[in-house]
Amino acid sequence: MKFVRPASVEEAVQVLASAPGRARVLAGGTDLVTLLADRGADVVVDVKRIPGLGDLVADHGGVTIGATVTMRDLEPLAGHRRLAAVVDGARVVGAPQTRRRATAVGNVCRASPAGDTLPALLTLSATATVVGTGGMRAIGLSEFFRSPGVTALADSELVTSLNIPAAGGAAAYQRLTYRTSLDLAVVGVAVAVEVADGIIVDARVGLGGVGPTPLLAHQTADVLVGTDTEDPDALADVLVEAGRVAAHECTPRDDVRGTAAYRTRAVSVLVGRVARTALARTDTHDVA
Amino acid sequence: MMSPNDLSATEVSVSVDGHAAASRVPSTRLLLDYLREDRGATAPKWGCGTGDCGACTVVLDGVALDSCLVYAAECDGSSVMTSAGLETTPVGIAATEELLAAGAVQCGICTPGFLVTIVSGVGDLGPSPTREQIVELLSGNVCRCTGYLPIIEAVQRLAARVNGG
Ligand SMILES: Cc1cc2nc3c(=O)[nH]c(=O)nc-3n(C[C@H](O)[C@H](O)[C@H](O)COP(=O)(O)OP(=O)(O)OC[C@H]3O[C@@H](n4cnc5c(N)ncnc54)[C@H](O)[C@@H]3O)c2cc1C
Ligand code: FES
Ligand code: FES
Repeated sequence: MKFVRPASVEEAVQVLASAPGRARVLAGGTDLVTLLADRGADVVVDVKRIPGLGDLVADHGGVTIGATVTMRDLEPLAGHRRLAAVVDGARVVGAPQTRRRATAVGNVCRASPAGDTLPALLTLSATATVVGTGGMRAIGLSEFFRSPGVTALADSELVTSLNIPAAGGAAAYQRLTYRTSLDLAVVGVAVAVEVADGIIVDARVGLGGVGPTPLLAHQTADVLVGTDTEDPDALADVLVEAGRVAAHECTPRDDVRGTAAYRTRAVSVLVGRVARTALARTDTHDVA
Repeated sequence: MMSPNDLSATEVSVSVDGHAAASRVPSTRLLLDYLREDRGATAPKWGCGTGDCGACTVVLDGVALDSCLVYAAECDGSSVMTSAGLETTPVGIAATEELLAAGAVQCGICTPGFLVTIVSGVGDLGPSPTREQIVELLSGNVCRCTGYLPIIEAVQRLAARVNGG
């Protein structure tokens, strides 16, 4: 295995293109190091010292998360009521040791169905900025995840950043695990809402752990839109209905973390809970 | 064509507990193996090798992380502190005293990892951390013997002592 530490994005792309399919990008390594212990690679491309990739820029609700920004680095975004959903996910990845090393972009590129930042990034309409031998392109995250561990990236492509567009409202993410730390999500749910005059005018729901990729539950989101949040009974009914619809939008499988039936039930409960957290956050003011 | 930054020759220069040395390592060499076998720094322990137990925790350029998930080649020009180096610092000495006083060590295999986590994290806890804050700090370190209670107690006392409680 050849270890390369390029000084620029262009150089990194060139190295990746020189060994198609046999070169791997190394960010925090929290997934890759154990993966390569089993499978190996011809070339490992360490991007951690490429200038600019560590930038985290947040303004007016939009944010750019560079490729080497760690889960821990995202913590300051917690004060922002929409971006807090991404931080909710970042905060539960592994343990403190993991979060100081693991990157958000690595979480996206790993494309685990249960990756903890992915449902929130999906609901916030994040795009990945990608550079390859053919130049730069943007890929919406809803097109990015193909199947477990498989993304829309070509062999020579590198994600340089994630971009979340500015928008109003608030969002939240929660997951179900058996153990608080060092456990992967059985299911994870993110909800983003926008409220005007007490009415939910826009909603997006992201689900993890319930299919081959994290996904957007469009019908569930549609159930939420139009709800009068100031009528507690109506809200309670809608949240139950949203959970019921979410259960239908899942295609979970049985595995060691849970049966399909258990996951479906868990999602339907979490949707209501997370929606309430997101709604509560619409009342708080941004500090970011 | 080899780029000037190509480390396939894997010459790494790393400072370990204040001692700098350069050597050649295979690119697949993990930092944990490099420390233990190439540098004789046996304080970090092999537990799981998958980032789950924290026995291999070291401080790399100021960041406490699992050395079983890092390649030695990534660390060229870096500085690593293991528990052996940290336990001679003022906070390290205090931490060692509190761990001993609380009876927080049984077989000891987890202790160097806990010490690194505690010494590098206690400063952020303030003088009177909650139990939840301490549990969160320690959540990446597994102990199969102590039941954690004496370790938590040691951190509580240490936080009061070093953060002026
Ligand atoms: C103990 C432990 C616990 C964990 N717990 C969780 C958890 O609770 N939730 C969770 O979601 N994950 C968890 N993980 C998985 C992992 O920490 C995350 O997926 C992390 O975000 C990966 O980031 P990284 O920087 O370490 O990626 P790496 O391991 O460096 O890379 C991951 C993958 O992405 C590719 N890649 C990385 N960066 C780029 C880029 N810029 N362009 C193109 N490809 C790229 C790599 O080639 C590799 O295939 C855990 C891992 C460990 C070891
Ligand atoms: S040996 Fe590294 S975390 Fe267990
Ligand atoms: S003292 Fe034995 S594992 Fe902790």
